[in-house]
Formats: sequence, C-alpha cells, structure tokens
Amino acid sequence: MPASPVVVVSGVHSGPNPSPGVGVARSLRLAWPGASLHAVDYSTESTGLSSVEFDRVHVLPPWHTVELSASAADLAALVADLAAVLVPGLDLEAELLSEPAAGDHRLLLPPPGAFATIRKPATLAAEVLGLRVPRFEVVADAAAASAFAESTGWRVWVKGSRYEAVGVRDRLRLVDALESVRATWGDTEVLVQEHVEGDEESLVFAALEGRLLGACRMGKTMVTPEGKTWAGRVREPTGAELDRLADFVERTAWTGGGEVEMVREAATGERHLIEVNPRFPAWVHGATIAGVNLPARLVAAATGLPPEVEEKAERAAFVRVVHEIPARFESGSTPRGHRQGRSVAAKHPSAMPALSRRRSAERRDAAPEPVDRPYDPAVTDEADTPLRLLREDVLTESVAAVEGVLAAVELATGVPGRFAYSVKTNPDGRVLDAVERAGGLAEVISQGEAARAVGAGFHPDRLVLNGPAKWWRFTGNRAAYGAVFADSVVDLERTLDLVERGVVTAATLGVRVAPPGARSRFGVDLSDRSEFLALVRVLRRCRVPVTGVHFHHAASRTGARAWVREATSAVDLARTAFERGGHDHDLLDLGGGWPSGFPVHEYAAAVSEVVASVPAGALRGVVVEPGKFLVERCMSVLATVLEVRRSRGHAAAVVDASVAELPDWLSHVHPVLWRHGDRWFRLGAGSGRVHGRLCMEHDVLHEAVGLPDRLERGDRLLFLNAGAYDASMSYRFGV
Amino acid sequence: MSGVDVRPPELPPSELVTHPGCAECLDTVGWLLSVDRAHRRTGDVTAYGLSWVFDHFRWGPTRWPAAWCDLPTAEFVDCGVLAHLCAVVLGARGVACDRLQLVEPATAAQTRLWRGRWESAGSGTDWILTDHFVYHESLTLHTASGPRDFDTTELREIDPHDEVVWIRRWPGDWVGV
Repeated sequence: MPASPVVVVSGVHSGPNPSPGVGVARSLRLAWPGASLHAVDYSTESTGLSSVEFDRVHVLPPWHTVELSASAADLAALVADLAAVLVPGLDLEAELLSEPAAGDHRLLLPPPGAFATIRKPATLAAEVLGLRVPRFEVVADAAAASAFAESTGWRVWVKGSRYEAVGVRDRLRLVDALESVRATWGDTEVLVQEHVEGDEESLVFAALEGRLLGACRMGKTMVTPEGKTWAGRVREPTGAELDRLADFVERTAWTGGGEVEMVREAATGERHLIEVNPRFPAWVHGATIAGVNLPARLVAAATGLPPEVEEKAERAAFVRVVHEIPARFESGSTPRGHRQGRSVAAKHPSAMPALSRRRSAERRDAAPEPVDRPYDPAVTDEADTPLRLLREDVLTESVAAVEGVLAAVELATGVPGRFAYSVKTNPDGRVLDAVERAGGLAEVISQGEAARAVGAGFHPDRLVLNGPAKWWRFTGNRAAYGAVFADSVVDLERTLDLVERGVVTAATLGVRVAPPGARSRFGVDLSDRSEFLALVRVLRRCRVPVTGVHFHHAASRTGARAWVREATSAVDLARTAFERGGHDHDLLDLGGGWPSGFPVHEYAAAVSEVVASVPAGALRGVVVEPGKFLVERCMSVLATVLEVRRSRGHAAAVVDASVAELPDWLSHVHPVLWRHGDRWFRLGAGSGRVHGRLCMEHDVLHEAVGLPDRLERGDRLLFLNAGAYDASMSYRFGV
Repeated sequence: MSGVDVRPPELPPSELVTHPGCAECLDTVGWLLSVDRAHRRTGDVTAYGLSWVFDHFRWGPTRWPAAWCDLPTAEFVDCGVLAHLCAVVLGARGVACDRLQLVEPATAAQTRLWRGRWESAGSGTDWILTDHFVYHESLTLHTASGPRDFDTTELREIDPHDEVVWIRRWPGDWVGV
C-alpha cells in the first residue's frame, strides 16, 4: 500500500479563465509531497500541462474527433490502470463520466442525478441551500428574451444550460449573445436571467458519497474584466450554511468537489444563486492557503491515505500572480486540423464547446405558426409596398387598456387619473383623433407639436407641455396650457417669468425630476445638493403656485420594480424641495416608456405604489403618459419579398422595406408574419435573416429567424409592432 | 489608562451648527434625509446603507466651526462631520447611535502629510495629537444584533485588531485600550 496517492487531475488550463486542475494539484502536493500527480487535458494548448506539479501529463484526443462514450471509457481505464483516483476539473467531462462511473469509486464526481439538480437555473438546489433564484425564463427566440428583459429591466444575463453567461444591456447585444451561446454550446433553448447587483461570494466544498468533508466561504476582492476571481478572502462558513450544505450533499449523494456561486444583493442583503459547479473552483488553492485543503480531504477520504503534511493556515486572503515557466509543448503542436483558432483556444483549450455541441440536440428552424388574419385581404393583397398599416381595433384596445390602468389606480389609491398621449411617439392624425375622442390629454414637447394637437381638436387646457425645448419658436403671444413642466431650474425660471408676466397661463405648473442615481439628461437631479438647493431658492421666491411633479424613466429599460423605486424616491425628493420652498405638491405626472403589451395589472400596480407613497389626501390627480404602450402594436409595415438567397443551410430574404420604414428596429422586436396562400403564419426562431432594400450593411430587419422553404419572391411579409417611433422617425431614403 | 504616551483631547464630539433663522441650514438637512430615503430604496444596504454619502463628499479638511449650510459647497469633510452627518441620518431612520471618540496610532509620514494638507486648507491640526497619534471620530450603532462600533469615515466595522489606544463612548469617560 503506497503512503502517497496516485491522482489524475483533469482540466488544467491556466489562463484568464482557468480550470481548477493546477490549484488542485498544488493543494495535493502540499499534503503529499511524494504524491504521483497526472494531468489530463484535451489539447496541448492547455497551459497547465506545463506546471511543475505534474509528474506525467496525458493529452487525450479532442472531443470532436472521437466517440464520446469511448473517450469516457478510456479515461476511466487510464485511472484504473494507474490505480489512481480522478479529480475532474471540467463540468461536461464530469457529466459525461457520471453515467458509466456509477459504482466506480475511483472517479470522484457527483452521481447523474446531481447533475440534473444543478442544471441552470437550479431552483431545487437553491431551495435546499436556502438561496433565492433571480427571475429567469427559458427562451427559444429573441422575441421572448426581449420581452423578459423589458418586463424585468435591463441588464439581464444570457446563460447556456451548462456553460457561459453573457451580461447584456440592450436588445442588439441580447440577440448577439443568444446566437453566440447557441452557436458555441449547441443549446436550443437558452436561459435569460435578471441581473442582481451586489457582491459575489462562493462556497467551495468537498464530499464523499453524500458526506460533507469540509467547506469554505470566499468573497472576491479583485476580479478580472470577465468577472473571474483574481484575489479573494476566505472565511469559515456559518453554522447555518454548513447545515444547508450538508443537507444538499446528502440529498444529492454528492462525491467530489463543488462550488456554490452566489451574489449578495446590495439593495436587500439577500443571497441569490448564480450556479452550482460540479467540481472544485480554480481558486481552491486559496482555501488551502487559509488552512482548509479540500482536495486533500477528498483524496484522503477516498483512498484512506492520511495527508503527510497537516493543514496550516497561512493567510485568509489570497492573490493570483502571473509568471512564466518552461513550456512542455511547443506552441502550435496541436495538429493543424484539430486547432480551434487562436482566440477560441485561449478561452476554451479543453474544447468544452465541442463536447457541449456533441451532447446537444441538432438545432432546426422553428416551423411557422398560423395566426389569425391581421388585415383585410383587400388591403394586404393589392397594396403597393412598403406600406404602413393601421389596425384601429388594436388602437381601441390599447386606449381601453390605459383606461383600465387609470381605473385600477383610482380603485387602489382613491386618486383620479387621466392619460396624456405622448404625441412625439406617433403624431398620426388618426391616433390623435382616437385619443381626443377618448378624453385623453396630449403631451407635447414643442410649440409645433402643441399646434398640431390643437389642430387635431385638443383644447389648449388639454395640453401638457414638457421637454427642454418647449419655448423653442414660442411667438410670445398669449398662450394657455393644461400643465407645463420645467425641465431644469433655468427652464423653471423662464417659465415662471412668462407666467408672472401673464403671457402664459397653466392650470398646473410643475417640475420634471430626474431619476435619482441614474444618468439622465432630463429633469432636475434633486439628489445633487446644489440642484436641490437651487430649486428650493427659486420656489421660495416665486409668486405663483408650483404644484406638479413629473417623473419619467423608461420602464422598458429599468423594469417595473426599479421604476417604482426610482419614481418613489424622485417624488420624495421633490416633495421635500417643494415643502422647503413653500409650495404644496398636488399633481403627479408619471411618464411613459412602458412596453407595449405590458400587463395592465402590473402597470396599474406600479403606478399605484408610487401614488400611495404620497401622503393620503395630498394629491388631487395623477397623469400617466403612455406612448409605446398605446400605439406600438397598432401599426405594421407590409413588405414584398424581392429575392430569397439560400446557401449551405442559411437563408436570407431581401424585402422592399428597410430601416427607413423601421428605424426603431433595434429597440424592440418586430415579429414577422408571412402570407402564404390564403393564410398568415408567424415566423419562428431559426438561422435566417431578412435584409432591407438599401445598399447599407446595417439594413438587416430581422436576424435569427426561421425562413420557410416555400418562401419565394413576391410573397408578402408583415413587420408587426411598427406603430411607435418606427412611424414618427421613419424617413424617405433609397426609393 | 492607556500604556502609550499620549493624552486624549477633552473636547466633545464635533457638531455641525444650525444658524438661527438660516433656511439653507434646514434645506441641507432636508436634502440629506430625503437623499438617504432615496438610497434606502435604490441603493446598497451594506455598510448600513451609508456608502451614498461618499458619492457627495470625500474625506479631507473641514474648517471649524462648521454649519449645515457649509455642506452644499464642501467637497471634503473630516471624520467629525462624517460622524455627525451619519448620526443624523441613522437617527432619522430610527437607529439609535452614540458618538465614539478614538485615539489611534499613525506613522510619522502620515501625520506629516496630513498636517501639511490641513494647514494648506486653512484647517486646524489639533486632531493630530503627536507625530504618532491622531484623534478620530466614529459611531456606535445599536442594532438588533447588539452594539456595533462603526467607522463612518472608512465605512467598516471597527475591528478588534484595530490599534485603538483610547476610546470614549460619549458622554462617558476616556478608556485606555
């Protein structure tokens, strides 16, 4: 019986995104100076193969060149031949080995059921560990991903089922990330998860057959630009954490190393699960430095060989350094046909993407789904294209939805409300007429827009004048408005001058307040002490009542929860300033930016929460300002297919519409309908693209769309949700 | 009685004054408490939710006596201002706290550089007690889990390993550590 173990360690790359193998080997070497340590990886580009810790290295054939089960059997056979134990360092390799490994005590990895438990978003694991799971959705296409991001607020994470997480803040990057994760890892469905702001923490542990052998807690103190640990501080877990972890490893019958990655939410202090890794983390030697050698505990428990050197706590804090060592392999020694390219090799030298793709189902374009006829065939069949079409029934439904929001707010708070349509969103006369008939107000940002609204039938007392350029081209003639909101302290002084001289009259004078803590060029930032005091000074000396507070920050970007927090804080700051300045605040104007199709009850709940934050009886009314929410879905752009290009499984359709008709194509999804025969079909996710007519590279109207085999020249496509800024910002170009 | 050769000052903790009839003094307090409420909804709860204070002020010299209406134009404030300001904020939240006075060691290089900075700003340097000891202010917070000594200048709990030589929990007596 040898006194020192023989250990095979896989996953040994040591780069900016390292595998744990080198750290595991260093910890084992510390416990058993005479241990026989073998490194396993799948490419000579894995730099840790050159580490002096390893007595021998084994470079196995890359995943894309072999039959997977045979490769797993070969690795198990290598471990058996060496009378060794295996400490795996690659998630997918461990998962691949787990099925045939059942009963093989030499392979120190979790059983198959454990992998199912930790598959993202790992809600069951989170429950056992007493952690929250950030809100998520499993999506198949960009439309669903965008809808999720708009409902929770940007930023979100796009996560592969096994590997990789990409943080995105806008739709364009979301689409890119979705495609990248799919193409790299072969996932058909991808997880989209809300971002939680806070500090990242980890729990590392070792277990054997469901028995916890030890654990450490680590807080990152320095991270790389990719968020990987560069320095950390190791602490003992709390008793409660250890109890939860012991329960988790017992329930999953866990064997091997593991890591629970979490984020402690800054705003609440609650901990959320990011993921559970079925292996030791790359920083595991940091725990060894702190006096807890988990790789050694695991190997000792599995082999029955006690460590020759006892654990010793040097420091609780650790840092990483970069240093050069002699290379065991020449750069470029990987056969040319097996190379992955310089950047891919640097990021994934163990070729996990290839293994992931091999284990994923083949990706196919989604079949188009039939939908109800969107327009009268007389319109869509005979029209010259491109053509923007209005659905008056959808507009009527949207107006009713806004009225539903206001009714719900009044029911919840007792404060009556009105809506002011943001004219800039789409100044189409038919839309203005519908709003006017419904008794809505018109929110205008210039004298020109004010004149247009009056021309559409709005009495001046139904105008809400807003924005930084409200007095641009003002004639100086007497004018009346329902409400005027100043965009800055300077704008307030100018407006007060006009009012005090009797040139302008307004039922309500107010101030737009910027979202505290968020960058915005609009409104008075009352979280800034000098702006706060400047506003108070102006209010204190003005002779007319200033009673309105306006807040706007697009909820489609912030998410409803953040919007409520920002709006409530802004209103609180404004009320304090008004009180200090000697004015009573009694009208609240809450701007738009709500996504079209946002649930009415959630919209109403958000507005009600802000209204309810104001002391009871203080408000005489609330105004909401829907723009996109009201009109985005009521218009579409009809186009004709000019050409269909197909090559090697990729398809692209060129249409006679372009970014000139759909200029807001980046900000939201425009689902595409296809007319085939007498029916309309909604195109699903896929690998095709829809190109616009313009000779401009960026004129791509849709990506990652499944183009049907029967799509041909002359077919009609309908781009939905083109009734908001796509309409007002469209331009004549390339016709 | 501390074993080191430095005597703590007899002054009470620093207080920003409110000028009688000065609207701007009250406006500033109103702003402070309102911004704190905003950050409690949107911000960071670690460090007792006080980190936002450093979005507006940085540690540095204050010319005493200082008033609330001096804050709107102040870029730098000393540990006494920070402790008083945080005490007011925490008090408005309903968190009881006591003022904490400390004497801590410093290196000769630190005290030389600090003295130069304070003198060039026209601020008093009496808080630099000797070349090797300085006076410092902080808070004791009475939380649900018990009293916590919290450094409102460094936004961290005062560690048992910190080299404090004298401590006074106002209005108690100085105690050598």
